[in-house]
Amino acid sequence: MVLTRNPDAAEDLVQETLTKAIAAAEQWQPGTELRVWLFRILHNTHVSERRRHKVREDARIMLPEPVDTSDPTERIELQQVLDALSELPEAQRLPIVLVALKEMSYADAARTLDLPLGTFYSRLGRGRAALRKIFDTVKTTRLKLVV
Amino acid sequence: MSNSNTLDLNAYLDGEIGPDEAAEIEAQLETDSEARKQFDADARHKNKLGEALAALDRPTTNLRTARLERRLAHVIARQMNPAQPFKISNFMRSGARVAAVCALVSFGWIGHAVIAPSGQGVPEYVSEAVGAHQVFAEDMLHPAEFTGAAVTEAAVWFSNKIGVPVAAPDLGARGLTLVGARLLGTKEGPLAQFIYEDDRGDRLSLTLAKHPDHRPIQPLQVVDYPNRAVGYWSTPNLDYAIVGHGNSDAVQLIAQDVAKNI
Repeated sequence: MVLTRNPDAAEDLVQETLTKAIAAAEQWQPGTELRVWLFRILHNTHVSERRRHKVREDARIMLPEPVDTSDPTERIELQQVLDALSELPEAQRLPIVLVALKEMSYADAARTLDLPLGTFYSRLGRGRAALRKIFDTVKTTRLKLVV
Repeated sequence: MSNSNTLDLNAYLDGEIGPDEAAEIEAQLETDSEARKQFDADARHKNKLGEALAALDRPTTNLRTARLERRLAHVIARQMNPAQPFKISNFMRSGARVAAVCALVSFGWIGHAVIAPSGQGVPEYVSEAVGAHQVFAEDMLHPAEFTGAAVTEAAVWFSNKIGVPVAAPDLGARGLTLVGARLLGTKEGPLAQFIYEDDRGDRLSLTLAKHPDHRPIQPLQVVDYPNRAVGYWSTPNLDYAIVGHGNSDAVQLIAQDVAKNI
């Protein structure tokens, strides 16, 4: 079973997104990527909500809880990835998450976030570099603790 | 390693470059240990995250979310082809668009683990029955496993699995025809589901489960779920749940019929 950090808020977000999408369905152009259109509504809804509440914790609903795998090593590694991701600013985190979605191209992801492609590229690159740095720091810290 | 190389590695990892550029990157990775280390780390992180996202990409069990998904599917299908009568199955065959809705749910990071009825104190099997109704009775893409004459044989198999005799009641007097049956595996044990259809194509399901010895006998209750009504009751041997669309009065009458004729 997969849980969320804030399942109620996440469900509310999806429901609000679907409600807006239903109301704005006429704006979707047949033949264009529906997923991108929906993601954009979801992203904008999320950003609006966060602005409204100004609660930092809200940003955390954009990360999944680790999947329960039978291999504890894999589970730990996944937890580390998610923890490291949660330390990134959202501007860097979302590009990383979007390109991890199956069949999400850079162009689609950039459109989803309403960013120029170049800006998307650079945020993705900076985000991945920051993620590696956090990971390396975690490993170094743990090694020191063991020693 | 320059910033442009970093971007190229990202594009290579994400399949965003052509074969010639990919060959160049692969050659670089053979000789540049720092680049190799960076690429391996990024690939590992992406794979882990991708697995987590894929695991989240499952149908919703939240009834309101499911209803909204259906409505969205409806309006989008209408927009794509307003001349044709809407059929959810037509929309669902359009894989990319289904994926869009499913991925939307994934993006919201929903853990679809809970069905929340409006009433309190409803036994868990009733919620299971509603979930099963949604997936198997209403979704034309998942035909029941047993249809026509095979339903009678299925009932024998169901009885053996559940441990008490079960059979599909005749609801012809209510204008309902038995169109299929399915055995469902749940954490509370197997459930037998019989699916009926009226002449308008609306479906109703009757779900039967072995009544647990420790649970009291439940008189008929009718509860409203979002957009559906459920009648449930129990006998010393079996628990029953009837799930139908909107009108709780109609569901109550059918449930009373079935309960009287057991």
